[in-house]
Amino acid sequence: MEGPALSFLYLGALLVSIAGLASLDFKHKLALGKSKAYRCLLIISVAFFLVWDLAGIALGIFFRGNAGHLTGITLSKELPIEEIFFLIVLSYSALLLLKAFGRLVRK
Amino acid sequence: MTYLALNAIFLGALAIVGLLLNKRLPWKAIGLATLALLALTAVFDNVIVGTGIVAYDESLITGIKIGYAPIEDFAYALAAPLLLSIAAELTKRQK
Repeated sequence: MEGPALSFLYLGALLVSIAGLASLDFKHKLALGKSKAYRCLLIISVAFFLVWDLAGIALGIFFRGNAGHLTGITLSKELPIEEIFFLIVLSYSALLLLKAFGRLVRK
Repeated sequence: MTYLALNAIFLGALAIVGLLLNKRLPWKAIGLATLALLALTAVFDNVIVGTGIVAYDESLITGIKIGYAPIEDFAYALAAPLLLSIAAELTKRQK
């Protein structure tokens, strides 16, 4: 058992999610499975939400909970490294949903 | 500033750009992707708030919650498909 100071549970879950999304992406050739150019969209999206996050943190609206599921590695005060991977999951999910529904609607 | 006011700034900015690009955006796909993402957020956010990964200043949120998830957190799901569609449109190579 790992102590509360260092846990890879949340980060691991996020990485598994990203791997799952990537396998759907490549299987159905939705985004990155079709063109590497989609990386650019994901980076824009993650950057946009990161600014939103940093604003929320600066305003004291939300912050790191005291859960024992985080690695404890932070990018800045109250910004755990996990948040970057969460924003990738969010952005990648949104991109794949958009592409999948776009395909359905067109048919 | 409350969480709701912060969200209004980001969602408002996206909405304005969205309206400016109106005819060039795939609204049906955006709507469907947003609905799906809102449903996924309800599950995901309950897990990360419920397990204490993230916490909030209760005086800066409305207190309206879906389970453990503050209603304000759904703004991210509301924004993502529109943001990606706008970014895709604006970065499209001009012919």
